[in-house]
Amino acid sequence: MVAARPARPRAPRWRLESMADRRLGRLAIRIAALVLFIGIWQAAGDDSINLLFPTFTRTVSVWWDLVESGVLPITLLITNQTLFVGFLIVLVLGIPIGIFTARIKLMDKIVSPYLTFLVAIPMIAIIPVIQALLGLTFAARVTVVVLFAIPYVVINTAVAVRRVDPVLTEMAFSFGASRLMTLRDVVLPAAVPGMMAGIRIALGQALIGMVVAELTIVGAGIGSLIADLQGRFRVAPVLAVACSIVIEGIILMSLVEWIERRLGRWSKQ
Amino acid sequence: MTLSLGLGTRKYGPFLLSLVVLAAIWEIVGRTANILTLPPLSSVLVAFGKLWSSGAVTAPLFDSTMALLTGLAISLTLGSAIGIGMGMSRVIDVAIGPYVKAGLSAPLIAFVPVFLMIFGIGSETRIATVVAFSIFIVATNAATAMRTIDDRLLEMGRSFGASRWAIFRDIRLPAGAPYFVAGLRLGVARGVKGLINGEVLIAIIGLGGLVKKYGTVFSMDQLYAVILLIVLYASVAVGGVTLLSNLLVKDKANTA
Repeated sequence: MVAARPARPRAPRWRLESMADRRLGRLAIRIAALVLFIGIWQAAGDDSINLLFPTFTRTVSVWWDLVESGVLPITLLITNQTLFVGFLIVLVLGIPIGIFTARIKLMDKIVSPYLTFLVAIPMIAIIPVIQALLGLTFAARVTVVVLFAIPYVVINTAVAVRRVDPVLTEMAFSFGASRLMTLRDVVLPAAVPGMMAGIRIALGQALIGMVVAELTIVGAGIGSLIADLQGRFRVAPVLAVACSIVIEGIILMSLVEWIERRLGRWSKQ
Repeated sequence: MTLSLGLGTRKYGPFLLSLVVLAAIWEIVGRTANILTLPPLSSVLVAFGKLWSSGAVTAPLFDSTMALLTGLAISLTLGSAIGIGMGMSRVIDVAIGPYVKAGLSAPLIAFVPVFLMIFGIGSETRIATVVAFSIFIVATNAATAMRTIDDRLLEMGRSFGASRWAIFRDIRLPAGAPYFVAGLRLGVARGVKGLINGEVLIAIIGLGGLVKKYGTVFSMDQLYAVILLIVLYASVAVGGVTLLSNLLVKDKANTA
């Protein structure tokens, strides 16, 4: 005879699930996942021929060779100049354009459709045009970075400025604040979180632009390093270079996210 | 009718006017200045017409679309599976969440040279690029879709003795549908970019290959025509999936 079991009040919880609630448990899970990931990479790799996917250990040792010889640091530095200058231009041009777009109706009507369009299309398609105009130069690579990133800063700044509570600006006006003062002391601080979100997305796009520019408008940076290694059919160093760029990207994105959180707290005060 | 037309011109009037002005400037400068890099708009349009009618773009267009669809299919199945796992289990979320988040924002395009060396200049490289561009946004949205569910609904399902599978199918999936659809839309938008990026970097196949082909020989009117084609292609893909997602979500809202 089978006794009717009382229905359990809750579905049984996994023992493992409760691990995710503790700090130490989370750390253990993350380490286990990392070990598993590296283990799979190691097992999937094959070092017998240069042309095959390399193992983890070989990639790391090749990476160390590139770092020690100074090739990777120098090329990365050169490549990052493009990113730095390009992103600076994006900020200096993008934020004011965004503010104007939000505050001037006619500007909004004219500029906004182009921006939505620029976000939707694959910007890489116009690189041959940039190359024909500017040649294989630093300026051409910077232009690519700017074109990849600037729409996101402009759009997000415009949206953030437009969303500022009208009660705030009206109050400022009624206390006799000028347009400029309202913009500086009321609108901009309130718009900072939205602007930072745009800057974070734009950084991600600028990083893509940097890599695309390096690979298509080849200069002295990682583009030429990769082209050289590709020509000699060395997969492991190319993978090592690619991983370095990806890790650099992750670090930069985390940095911007951290700034975003800090500024978000400041903006709320 | 007249009212909506009037509103339309008021809303889009300045933009359309600026478009006409830009086109006119392009045509005039292209004709008078006679710069190699800026052929007049009319000759670009003629080149586009010739390219289209000659059938030179039919094969690359088909080829690219097949690669895009294959890559998207992989991204949608694998990405949804990863995202559903992350949304249902805290352990999976803690274990692979950081990788998904990193993959969402890191410049994965840097891996294209690696794909190129391992997979060769065939379709696999493009497909891998499409997957790398789109899988993480699909996974993130699928995870959000699983998490947005109202706890009271889950509790009710459990108290009525619904199995895990029944709860998943009848409660979690319908509730998360808008996020899945958003994931699909963003996945397609990113996937198209991945496709063209991959093709331009591979430089031989598909629409991106045409860019390289005309770009290297400075055949500018044809180059602009191909760029125009790519822009149209991306717009149609993104616009189509946006339309589809609007229909899907509205449908769900009606039946719910």
